[in-house]
Amino acid sequence: MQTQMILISYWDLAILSVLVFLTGFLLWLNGFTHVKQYFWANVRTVVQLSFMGVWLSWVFYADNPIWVALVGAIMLLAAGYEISKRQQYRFKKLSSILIGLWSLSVTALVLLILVLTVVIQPEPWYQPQYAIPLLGMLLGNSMTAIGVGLDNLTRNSKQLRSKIEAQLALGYTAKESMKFIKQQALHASMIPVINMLVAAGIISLPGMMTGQILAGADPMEAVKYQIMIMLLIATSTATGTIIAINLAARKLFDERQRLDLESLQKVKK
Amino acid sequence: MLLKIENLKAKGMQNPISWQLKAGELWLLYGPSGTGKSQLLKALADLIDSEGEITLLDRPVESMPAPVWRRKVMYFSAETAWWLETVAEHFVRVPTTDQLSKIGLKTMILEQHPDQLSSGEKQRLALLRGLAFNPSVLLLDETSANLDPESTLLVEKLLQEYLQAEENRAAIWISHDAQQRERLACPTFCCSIEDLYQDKF
Repeated sequence: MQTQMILISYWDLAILSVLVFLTGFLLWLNGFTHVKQYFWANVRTVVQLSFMGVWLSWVFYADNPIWVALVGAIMLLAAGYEISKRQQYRFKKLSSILIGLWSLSVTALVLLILVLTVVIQPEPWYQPQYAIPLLGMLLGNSMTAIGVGLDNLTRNSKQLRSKIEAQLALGYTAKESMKFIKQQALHASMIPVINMLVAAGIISLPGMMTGQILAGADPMEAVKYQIMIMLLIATSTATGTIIAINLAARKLFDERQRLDLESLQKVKK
Repeated sequence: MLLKIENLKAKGMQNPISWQLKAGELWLLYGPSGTGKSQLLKALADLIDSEGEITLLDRPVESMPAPVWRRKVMYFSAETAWWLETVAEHFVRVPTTDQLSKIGLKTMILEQHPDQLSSGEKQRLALLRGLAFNPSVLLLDETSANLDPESTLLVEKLLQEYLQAEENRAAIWISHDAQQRERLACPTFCCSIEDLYQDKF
């Protein structure tokens, strides 16, 4: 039942943006102090997505694996940067970005390649129409979870320092001493993912599925894609946070398993 | 020589320290706050970075993994910390009623949440928690600072018995209590951190 999608004009979008201005004004009247950020975030959304649209049309048209790889690399870097930006305590020496990049690449990227070559199998497997949106969804979700997990881990390590040091003094290894903090970090990053999975289909209609249905796809086909995405998101957030948390936990100790919180610096906001 | 320290210097310490502890000795260390006493003890337990040499029965600290060293040369901090739900979970060997009564505590304390205890109770429990690993050298950072006079005497007795119970045990105890120093160690095994810095031993 493939039907033609109804197209939205630029004028329609312009009218919607007037609504954003009005709500910004309402927020200001109600004492909201970050109206500027609210406007700026909306502007960024519009500009970034437009740019993405132009850029993707071009990449789809060019049909060259180098361009797909380049778009993927830019998305990965941006996600890694976003993760480090969300930290209250950052590792000195670039480590936060590296931890983010590494845990994103070995999960989102590996899963993407797996699902493209084994499950969907487009011709060629890197076909941008599939590769780029899938990567985007995996990165977006993993990025959020990893960001939350890392932030929780480093903040708790600072706050609960004496509890780590007491265990070290009793001869527990660095790994053992961090166990209770790692548990909390995993909890903080996985609970939102679990909630999202629980709400899907009852409370929320996930974005990708909605998009496909709006574009005229058969609901059942759209649902199958969505289920695949959900399972991929569950897997990539879980493995991504496990890797990131373990890497970061190890970075907090020196080679003699001494807690070295000097390696963290508070980010001024 | 049980514990041998040569030119040891860590952050917060004014001068390098050289010191030797024989088996069975209990040293009482004193001196103004902020002069590096705790840092000295932490460096000995390999909890902070330091320069110089530390050997236990001629084995240098670098020759064993840090966790192994720390079970032999154990640091007891002034403020105790607890990270699990009940007191009992923090012990590798749950203390017996007899062990608890020796320091004036009852068995039911083991099932409580650490937050419910007074700092004096926690300090005594933290001592038992560490002693369960049979450390050779005890580094006691104001271990009786939060105790009433009666409990202080019980803890002193416990530690003296522990040091005598087996060969090759010794302790360094930071204490600001002049009477305690008098009771336990002075004048032979009493020293101020300044004396150590000026190498008067």
